[in-house]
Amino acid sequence: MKNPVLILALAISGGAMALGLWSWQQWVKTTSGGQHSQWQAATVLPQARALPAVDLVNQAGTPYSTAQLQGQWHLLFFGFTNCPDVCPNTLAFLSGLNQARVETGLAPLQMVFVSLDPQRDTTDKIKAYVEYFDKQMLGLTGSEENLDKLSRGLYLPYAIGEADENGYYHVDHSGSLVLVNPEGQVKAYFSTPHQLDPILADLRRLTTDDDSA
Amino acid sequence: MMILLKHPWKQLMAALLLPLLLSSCGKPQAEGCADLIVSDAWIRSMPPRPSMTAGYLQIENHGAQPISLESFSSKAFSRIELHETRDVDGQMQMRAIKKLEIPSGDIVSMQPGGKHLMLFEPKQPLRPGEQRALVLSCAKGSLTIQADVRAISGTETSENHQNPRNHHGHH
Repeated sequence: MKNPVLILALAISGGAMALGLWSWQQWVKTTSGGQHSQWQAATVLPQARALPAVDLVNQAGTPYSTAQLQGQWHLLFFGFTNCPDVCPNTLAFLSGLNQARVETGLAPLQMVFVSLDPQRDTTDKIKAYVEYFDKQMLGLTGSEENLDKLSRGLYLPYAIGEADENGYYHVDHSGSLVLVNPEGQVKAYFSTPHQLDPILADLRRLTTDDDSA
Repeated sequence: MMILLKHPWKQLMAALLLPLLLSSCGKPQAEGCADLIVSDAWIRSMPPRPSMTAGYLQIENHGAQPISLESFSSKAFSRIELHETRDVDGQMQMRAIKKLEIPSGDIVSMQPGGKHLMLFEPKQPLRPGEQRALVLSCAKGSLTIQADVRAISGTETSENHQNPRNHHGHH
């Protein structure tokens, strides 16, 4: 890089970006205000939003509507069982999170795995998969149309990939966890990477503070 | 991203020297796998009837020449591909890596949430405590290693989730 003008321009634009980031952070601090400004991991919706109502099926093969996701807190993760890395990591993480939640005396929280790959993921497969990680986990899937509706309503897009020469395809999906409150409303998202202690700390506040439920 | 260049000056030297090496002397490269040190190789145990799982390992090139890893294979699986999970604005995507170049002195770290082996159709159920032989093939020659089958607990996963970002050698 020999051009001094270019170096100067880069330095100025770099400085401007840093200043922009700093002032944005200050703005977030002042506008989000109050005691709930410092979430460690969660993106908390200012106003809890109704979960899209769609008909799915659970791992026992029984019809299961998203309207049933109420009466206690639920934590949703979307994936597929032919997923070698992210999904097993996340389901094992959810299982560990559930243990830690019990040990630290937090409110009941039902873990939910939603398969976005109904073509390959039969309810039997989903049952074996979720229960391998956590006997208490709820496994759901549904028609492509209903899964589309649910994922769109949650702003968590996914994409079924093209099959390779062996017929294997990957499903690009969000790594986010969706927290649904006992009223069946979306309260918060946890985006990747997931870390135990920050999520536990936020869950403690979210599930105990009356005003945030 | 996952290739560890421990010191900034090494990165600089690599950046400066690599084009020089490529242009002047053809492409000096170790042909065998003899200079590779593999450690902490493990395979994730899976539910009863999995069609695939993932494997992870650390590979260090302690030789003087770069080494090109051409493929992985195993009698215990129908096929093995090298993949990388990428977190693109929260969207978890997967990319196949055809060939892996490991510069001299570098460590390629395959960990949950990053580069991993995708192991298709295990011939036998994978039980924690067992081992499976994996074959790493270089341009000429190969290296057979044993990978432990492990079930991962949630706590381990929460730690591993931090690793791909924090241990890239950005410092």
